[in-house]
Amino acid sequence: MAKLFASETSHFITNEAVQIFGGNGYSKEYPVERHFRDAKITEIYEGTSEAQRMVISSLELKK
Amino acid sequence: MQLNENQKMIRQMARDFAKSKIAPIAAEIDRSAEFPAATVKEMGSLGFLGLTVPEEFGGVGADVTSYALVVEEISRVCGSHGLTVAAHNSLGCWPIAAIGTQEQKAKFLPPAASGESLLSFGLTEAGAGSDAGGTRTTAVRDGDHWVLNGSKMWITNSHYAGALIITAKTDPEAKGSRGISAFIVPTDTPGFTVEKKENKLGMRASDTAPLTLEDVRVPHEYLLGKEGEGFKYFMMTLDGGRISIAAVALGLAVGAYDVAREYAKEREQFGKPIAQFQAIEFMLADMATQIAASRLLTYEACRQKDAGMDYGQMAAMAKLHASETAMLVTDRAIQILGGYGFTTEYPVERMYRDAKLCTIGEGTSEIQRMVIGRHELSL
Amino acid sequence: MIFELNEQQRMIRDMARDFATREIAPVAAHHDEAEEFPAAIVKKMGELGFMGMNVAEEFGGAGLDSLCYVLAMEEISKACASSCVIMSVNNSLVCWPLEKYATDEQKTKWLTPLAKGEKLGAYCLSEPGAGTDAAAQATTARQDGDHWIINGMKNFITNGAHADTLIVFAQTNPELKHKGIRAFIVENTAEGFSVIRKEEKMGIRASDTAQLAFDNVKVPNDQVLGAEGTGFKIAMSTLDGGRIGIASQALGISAAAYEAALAYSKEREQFGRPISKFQAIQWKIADMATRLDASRLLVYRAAWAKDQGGRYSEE
Ligand SMILES: Cc1cc2nc3c(=O)[nH]c(=O)nc-3n(C[C@H](O)[C@H](O)[C@H](O)COP(=O)(O)OP(=O)(O)OC[C@H]3O[C@@H](n4cnc5c(N)ncnc54)[C@H](O)[C@@H]3O)c2cc1C
Ligand SMILES: Cc1cc2nc3c(=O)[nH]c(=O)nc-3n(C[C@H](O)[C@H](O)[C@H](O)COP(=O)(O)OP(=O)(O)OC[C@H]3O[C@@H](n4cnc5c(N)ncnc54)[C@H](O)[C@@H]3O)c2cc1C
Ligand SMILES: Cc1cc2nc3c(=O)[nH]c(=O)nc-3n(C[C@H](O)[C@H](O)[C@H](O)COP(=O)(O)OP(=O)(O)OC[C@H]3O[C@@H](n4cnc5c(N)ncnc54)[C@H](O)[C@@H]3O)c2cc1C
Repeated sequence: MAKLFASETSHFITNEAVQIFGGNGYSKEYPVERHFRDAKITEIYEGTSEAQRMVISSLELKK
Repeated sequence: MQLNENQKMIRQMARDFAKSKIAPIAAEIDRSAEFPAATVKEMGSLGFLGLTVPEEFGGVGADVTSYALVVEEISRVCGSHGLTVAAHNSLGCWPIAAIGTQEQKAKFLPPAASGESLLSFGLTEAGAGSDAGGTRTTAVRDGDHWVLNGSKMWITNSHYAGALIITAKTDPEAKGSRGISAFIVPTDTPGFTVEKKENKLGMRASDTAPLTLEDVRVPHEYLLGKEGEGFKYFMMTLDGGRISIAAVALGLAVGAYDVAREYAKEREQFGKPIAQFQAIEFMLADMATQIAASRLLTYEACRQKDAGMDYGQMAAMAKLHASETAMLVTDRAIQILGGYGFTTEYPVERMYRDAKLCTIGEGTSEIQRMVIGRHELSL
Repeated sequence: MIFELNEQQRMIRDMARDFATREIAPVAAHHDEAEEFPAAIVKKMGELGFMGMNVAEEFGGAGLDSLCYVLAMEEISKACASSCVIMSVNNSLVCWPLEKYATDEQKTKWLTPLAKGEKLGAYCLSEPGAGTDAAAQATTARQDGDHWIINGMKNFITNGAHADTLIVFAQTNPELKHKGIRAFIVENTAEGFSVIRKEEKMGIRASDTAQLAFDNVKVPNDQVLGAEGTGFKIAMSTLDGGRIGIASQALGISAAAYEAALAYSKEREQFGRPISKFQAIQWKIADMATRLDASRLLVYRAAWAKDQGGRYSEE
């Protein structure tokens, strides 16, 4: 749950952060474009978000 | 929504060119952030750089739908090429074709339409982005000349432009967005400098740079339209530009979707193609649905513009929806490709980075919502 | 669940924050752009005890709890997500299974230098055909007298090109499916081991992600990790903890982006006022802050649950 939520949140937040920066968010002069690029991997490695949902739902369904 | 023969033909031509000439270099020019001067020249010979320019000025005189189809097809394989074509046609050629005098058209449109040199649009400044009316660049009348001073930011194609349309305050007394005028400034005018290009998240092979204007003297004949009407002109220009950004976004989404769909059918995990898992199947369904909506909105905006209707709200809706969809679809495409999607071996991560421009340039998503909201509320 | 950090946890967080702000943040953009492995930073993280945070002191670790680890990771990630994943792999995916499953002799030999940060580790599970379906291991290991022989290819291995010590999963008996998988400790100097290529990536570009080949790599019998048939269990239980690491990384990225956006929204003026005066921006700030907090609570809870010693897969 922590990995699923935190990684999808990092996607949401970094995207909004670039948006708030407007054109500057699109430039390498500011750090948010790097955060935006970095965030995406957290939804993929050590189990994709789909794999996390499989883990969570199977444990919930056993209850 | 039925395309006519002409539109289909133009689309096929763009598709073929994109596939054979642009797709093979798209990854490399993204990495090196190199402007694709050679393919842009070729696009000039194919007419893609003067699509909506009337034939008498060297253009193709095509309708807006055809133009959007070309931008979509090019953007399917490379956002940077798509943006180059979109900015040049919509922001460079269109205002001169729509507002310019016969002399201005004759002088500036033919070289632009043939691809000899590009046209750009210098509106944004460091302090004037969404609030483009807050422009600080000034133009002062001096006999039969105007003298421009100031700076611009984020100007697409400016290193490759023969001339730019520059907005400047001509009436310092006028409040807010009033008292702004538009000028055509040839790039070889003394005092005009294009600075070092930006290093960007995406659209890396599209040329974006700041400009400096120091006592730039342009003849009065280069005033575009009427003095003091600049704000109105650039709002009109951006209405059209939004259709082209919608088309870029649509193309990026379609490009990423195609890759993801094919991958999902081929990639096997747990002994079957991942497309057979509902998680993936439903993602593809949502992607396809959002793309269809983007396409209908974009083509409808084109139709309204071609029909001479007031298409501003539809263009804003198309741009808002298509660009948000491009973000969603390119993201889901990376997700479907898993670890591979995160690498440069596949184009989807590039498309994701390119797509982000579409929610920012030519009016952010927030600005589109303001445009749409004001129409709805009749403000 | 305890909501307040104790003295030690606060101290670790402050130490990590101080280090990250002073030494990592200024060079993060450069490492990203140049795809340069931050060797100097990794070395210093070792000196600070960040490379084996949860490992017992007797094996060279810092002997800290999971929450300390999460707090440190969050701070490092705020400055540089690449440095964070290098640290995460070493701590969660390499030190942890060694401490949990290795014999004491193995720990002394392999774990101690890793925990001290003198050596770097990698975790080699994924293969071209085995991603989410990690049990579909095509890499094989067969015993030959006093050693095992490993053959196969591993894909997307973090630290792969820089690691000294690799935990490698391989199939010993395909008929047993996932129960035939075993874990091995392999040195990067082993003959037949090679780095085929490094991936070029959208993000975490300063962390290397390598494709590795194992061509008749000989591994002495005393480098088998865990009992027969337990390899897959080791892999999965390791990933449970690893996910807390990645969750902390994500949390740090979120916090950094949020703080930057918050500050910018108060400075940037359009239409004669800071953009933070527009509801469109205020709503974004509110949603970002809410989700950031929820992430933090979930991540801290998972760390707390892990420290309680019960099952924490779901958390
Ligand atoms: C690659 C690229 C190419 C470009 N090409 C050109 C070009 O060729 N010519 C040109 O003139 N410009 C160009 N631009 C500039 C672009 O149009 C601006 O970046 C854009 O209009 C946003 O302005 P800004 O960057 O100053 O952001 P800001 O206006 O500072 O916006 C920051 C944030 O505040 C929000 N915001 C601002 N005002 C409001 C409000 N009233 N209500 C709610 N939210 C608000 C925005 O939506 C955004 O999220 C380009 C930009 C890029 C990145
Ligand atoms: C930068 C990076 C670093 C990495 N570091 C390491 C490392 O150090 N060690 C290591 O061993 N691995 C590492 N990996 C590998 C990573 O863990 C895998 O990429 C990940 O497990 C996904 O596998 P895959 O890429 O093969 O995607 P696939 O498994 O092919 O998945 C493709 C898509 O299908 C979905 N999918 C698959 N199966 C199902 C299903 N049953 N139901 C629903 N959806 C499904 C996935 O969620 C995904 O969306 C790394 C990867 C990257 C990109
Ligand atoms: C089942 C039920 C039980 C209730 N019980 C109680 C009770 O026990 N005691 C009591 O005192 N009240 C009670 N209420 C009333 C409730 O608190 C109000 O309905 C609520 O505060 C909203 O006020 P409103 O209905 O006048 O909507 P309005 O305030 O008119 O709001 C209309 C819409 O405008 C939005 N809006 C308003 N201002 C802004 C702004 N500045 N910026 C952006 N958006 C804005 C709102 O979010 C909403 O979407 C109850 C209501 C219901 C439905």
